[in-house]
Amino acid sequence: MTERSTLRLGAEHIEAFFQASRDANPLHRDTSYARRTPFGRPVAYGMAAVLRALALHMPAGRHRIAALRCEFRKPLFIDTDYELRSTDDGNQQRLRIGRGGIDYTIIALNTREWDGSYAGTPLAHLPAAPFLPPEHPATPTGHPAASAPPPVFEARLVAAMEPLCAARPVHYSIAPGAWASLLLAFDLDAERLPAQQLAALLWMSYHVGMEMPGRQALFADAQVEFSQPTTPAAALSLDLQEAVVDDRFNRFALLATGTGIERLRLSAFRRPWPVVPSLSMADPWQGSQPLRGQRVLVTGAARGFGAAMALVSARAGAQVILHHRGATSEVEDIVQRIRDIGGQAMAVGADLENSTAVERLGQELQPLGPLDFIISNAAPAIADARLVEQSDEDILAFTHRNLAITLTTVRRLLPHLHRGGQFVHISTCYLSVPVPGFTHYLAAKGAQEGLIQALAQEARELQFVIARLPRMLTDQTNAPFSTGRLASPIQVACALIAQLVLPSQARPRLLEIADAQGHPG
Amino acid sequence: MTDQELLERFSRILADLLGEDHLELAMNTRRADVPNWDSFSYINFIAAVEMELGIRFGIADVESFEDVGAIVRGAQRLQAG
Repeated sequence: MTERSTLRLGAEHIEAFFQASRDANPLHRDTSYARRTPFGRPVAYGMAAVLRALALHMPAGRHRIAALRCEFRKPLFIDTDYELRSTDDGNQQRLRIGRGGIDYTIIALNTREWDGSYAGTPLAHLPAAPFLPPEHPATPTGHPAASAPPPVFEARLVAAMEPLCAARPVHYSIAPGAWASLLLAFDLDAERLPAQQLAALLWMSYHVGMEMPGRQALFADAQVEFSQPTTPAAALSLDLQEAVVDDRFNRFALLATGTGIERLRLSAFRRPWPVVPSLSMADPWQGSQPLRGQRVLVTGAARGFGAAMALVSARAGAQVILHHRGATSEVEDIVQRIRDIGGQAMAVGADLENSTAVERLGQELQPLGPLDFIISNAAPAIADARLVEQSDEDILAFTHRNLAITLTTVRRLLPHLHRGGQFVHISTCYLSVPVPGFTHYLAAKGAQEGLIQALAQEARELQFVIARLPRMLTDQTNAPFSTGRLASPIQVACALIAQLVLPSQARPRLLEIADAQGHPG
Repeated sequence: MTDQELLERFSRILADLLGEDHLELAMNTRRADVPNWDSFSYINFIAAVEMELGIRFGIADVESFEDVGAIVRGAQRLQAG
């Protein structure tokens, strides 16, 4: 039987979890930090979602949690509704958090009946046998026998991993005074989730966020098999027995045992450093500076392709105006790097979704003289999500934001482009070769391209170029692994400028820039 | 190990990872064909395959497997070598 409900985490959950766990991973609470990650905004604590799901589906009657396995597949965000589906086959309960049938977090629970008060029960009254989930034999075809419950716990670590550090003891407790607030915020029943078990769950979050090498790692999965709580206090002692790392995937894992914990296994992905475009490559124009004397405005120039385009335009001799939306320190860093190579650059800030702000930006540009290029690159962060994961409102809002940026840019900034100047709309090769997970993105990009193509027929004194770029290594794609095939933003910017400086009759209006392997995206 | 033997093992491993009761992979199955088989699940799948078969893929191989058949052939090469 499947029960369905809604799971939503608010700021009060995040704050209570932070206070109790001391997990100060900035990914969860620092908006400017989170903007430089592929998530674009703060991510809810994975274990906070687990606690909330447990609060909504605590084992009934005299059953208590014996073992727990959590898989964290996609991030959850605060103030967002998720579906919570609970299935129970009598041996194991599964809680699935997701949207549109796509699972973001899966929690598997084994429970055990217990006939006594669990929280704070004196040791003598606790069961002697550990809460081991029953093992099951595999059928000849390799599928688990239908009658046997699936194992919650995978005791082994990945054999291919290398040892990371020596075994060591760890002591951890929930922050004094924060335990009760946590229970209240999450509506958790202390009788059903003893303090020591809660401490184990919080420690896993703390360890991944604060202690794992590379800090601020991302949970992959967490498994814990509980034995008798040894104390009613929200504290535990652990022996970290084995910790290993797989450098191929930036993946860590560790095994531990401890007070009230039969076995514990964690794995997580180390987050890579933020992407900083580098101009260390050779000058493709060998000093000829094809944009010398040209004035280039790049929108969304604080990071990613916009920053690369600004740097390469400056290397090509242009005076560059870097637009940003509040990322002052990051854009100033790019401006300084341009000045360091003898280039001319200045930063201007505006929210391109706000037509009044863009009007002001236009007035700021006026004294500089007409622009030769507008590189319309600014865009909201892109979350990977299939159609079924999004509501109509989600998709309409995302499309609206993208189209609003393009509309304000063309309405308010085109008058600053001199006759014959180029308006370059940055688009995506996914429009040529679509991939799953980007319906909203391609709907928005398609609408923008249609607008630009039609406008090109109305404003024939200007040149309009649509540049479909490949998937590049930027903050948005900076995953812990599989980034080797992503194109370099600097190299893509070089390839684009090489096209833009061609005579107009030699340059197609729709440019497709391939990555290093010749793939469109 | 034959293609079919590896496909059966891979199917079981992936079904376990994705929390599915049953799942059947074919040589031409691509990640996009399997709901919930995202990049993180893919890495966990590769790690589980390596552990079960006692092999270790190179990172370039892991990043270039286009379909399940490519993983099968990669595993067979490592087992033979």
